[in-house]
Amino acid sequence: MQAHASYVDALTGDAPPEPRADAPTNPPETSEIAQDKPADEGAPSFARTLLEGRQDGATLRDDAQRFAAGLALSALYGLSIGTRAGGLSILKHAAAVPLAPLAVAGLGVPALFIVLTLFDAPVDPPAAVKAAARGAATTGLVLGGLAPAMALFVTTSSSHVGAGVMAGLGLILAGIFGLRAFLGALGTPLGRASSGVRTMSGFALTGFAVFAIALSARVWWSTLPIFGGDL
Amino acid sequence: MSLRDLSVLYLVAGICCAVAIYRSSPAGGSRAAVSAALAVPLWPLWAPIALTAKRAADVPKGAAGGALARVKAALAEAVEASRGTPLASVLPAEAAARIEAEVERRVARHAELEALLRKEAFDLARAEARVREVERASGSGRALATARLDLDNVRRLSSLRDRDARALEELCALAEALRTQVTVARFSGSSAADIGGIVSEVQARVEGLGAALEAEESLRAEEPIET
Amino acid sequence: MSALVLARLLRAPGEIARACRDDHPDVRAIASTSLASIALGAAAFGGVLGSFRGGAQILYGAVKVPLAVLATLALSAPAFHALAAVLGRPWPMRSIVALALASAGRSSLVLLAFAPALWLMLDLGMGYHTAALVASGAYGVAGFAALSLLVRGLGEGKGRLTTALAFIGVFFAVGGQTAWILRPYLVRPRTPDVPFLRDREGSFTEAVLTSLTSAAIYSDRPYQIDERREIDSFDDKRMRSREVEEDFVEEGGQ
Repeated sequence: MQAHASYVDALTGDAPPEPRADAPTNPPETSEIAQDKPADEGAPSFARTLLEGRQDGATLRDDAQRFAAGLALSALYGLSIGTRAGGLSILKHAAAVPLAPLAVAGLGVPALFIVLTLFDAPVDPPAAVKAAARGAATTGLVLGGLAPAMALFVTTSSSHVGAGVMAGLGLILAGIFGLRAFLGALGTPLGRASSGVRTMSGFALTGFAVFAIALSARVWWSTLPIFGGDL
Repeated sequence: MSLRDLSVLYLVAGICCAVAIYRSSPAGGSRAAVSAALAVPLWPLWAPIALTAKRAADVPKGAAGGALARVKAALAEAVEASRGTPLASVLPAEAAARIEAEVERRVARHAELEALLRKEAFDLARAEARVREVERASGSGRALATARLDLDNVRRLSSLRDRDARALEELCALAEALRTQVTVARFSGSSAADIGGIVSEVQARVEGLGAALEAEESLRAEEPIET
Repeated sequence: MSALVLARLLRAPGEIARACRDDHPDVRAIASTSLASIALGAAAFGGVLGSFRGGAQILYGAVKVPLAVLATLALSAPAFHALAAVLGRPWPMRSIVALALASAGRSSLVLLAFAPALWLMLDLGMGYHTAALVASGAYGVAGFAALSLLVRGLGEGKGRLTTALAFIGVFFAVGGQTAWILRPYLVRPRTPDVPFLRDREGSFTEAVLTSLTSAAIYSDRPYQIDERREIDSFDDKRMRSREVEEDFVEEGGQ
């Protein structure tokens, strides 16, 4: 650069600017972190924020917001399946669909946390809350995405049974994804535990999964008018 | 509700989206009207694109685009001036085309960096405010370290952008000097060796610019989440 | 509509897919060109299908086929976005929509390519069932063309195949129901009056289940053209759909 600078001086008569003190001379440390990221590409999005939350300094408030957003998206699904009957039924469905993720988070997650703590699993309350938020957000995102299509199915199915089956399939799909996301989020800290703790925690998580499925099915079956239930 | 009722609701939502699209369109006129009209029946498909997609005009042409035009013009004139003379061996058209292509690539990436730094997530003032907020709230050491890292990254990106803009400007000056040198050499009967140095200088500057721009790729991977 | 984007849709689906995924400024042009391709290609193919009967059905077909495709995409796009996000690709909605539109645009161009050949075959006297099979084959080939762009757009990484299968599942379910609502497309020439839409009869899913059940019940029964059928539930007109009844009459039944 010195030789080049002198040639430029000869041409232009100006000295080149000094390199700035804060200019990086080495690749920043974060490049190593970047390489550990998943292979997915794409610009930032609402979905990414909803599912992954803030990576730095996420607070309880952030997780609560994600949880609430998931419930709101679940309510959208309720709105759509309520269009078959119309009227007040729309609101009843909108109120009933989020009840299942709420019940699972409110009843199942604290119980699971107690059991995991008994096994000395390395899971703290913020991790449990974050996992619950992720599970609810995932369920809500899938339900919200399926809502427009479901509105078409329930309003154009001539038989009530057909409409109910389609609505149920959407709920099952969303529930599976939500449970998968919750167990995946909780599984990350558990991966650091000893094999014995991991084994016992595995049993606990399996039990939680069974409980969550049964509770969700019970809540939806008894509260959704499309299945003959009522709030 | 019947399918007809749903269709009415759908069209009402479409009209609302059409109004939003028309009002958000920068140019207005017939293009905005067509875009808005398309949104009425197809708003789930068209609205996300019409309202949020980048426009070609959003990618700044600015100083970087002007630099590209100057380099292209200067190289073209230099090649033309050296044609049919012994100077052509030092600056063949292929070499000039390679330099142009490289500069074009660098300018495009510089424009991307400019667009990135215009986003709120990369706003320097926002990053500085965040650090102050965490310090005031006596947040955890980890939160403070993360906020400072974010600020450092934004500062580095800004510094890279500024350095690249200067380098592109210097490259323009060099290319224009090359054009002048070739023209003088042609009319004064100078040898190819007289302009060989400046050609090497141009190529070295282009390579140097590329190395600086590649350093920002690792920082881009840390792009914060946009809501 | 951009001729350059049209050419890239056919020749370089990988480039188009990458532009959609990477949120390139080209996304607007890709989306608008794809919409135009869908309108043109699907309309041409639908018009050709309608030409089997002729008359108003040509116009109906030209309107209904693109309407079915666009309605399916509009209803499926949010589901695509959600499924892509939970399967490891939390991209902006616009990227997913652009990818879906580009895939459908590519398939519509393939349908446009098939349209003249199909028209010629119909003009030379191809029968109803053969026409239905050929049309289905054309849809299948067009579907593969769309799939090639979609899979490229989903990029490398975990969950690519699962995401593609999820997209296909949603598209088939929603597309099947939409197409069911908007039928008929291929109408026999002897049909005196053809409605724009048939009366609602069940749903796509119910029709598929009914057909599967019927196929299972009657699979061991020999098919006889000249003999009068025994009275059984098959002859109960309440059990038969309109298409089966028309076939029954056409094949020499009662």
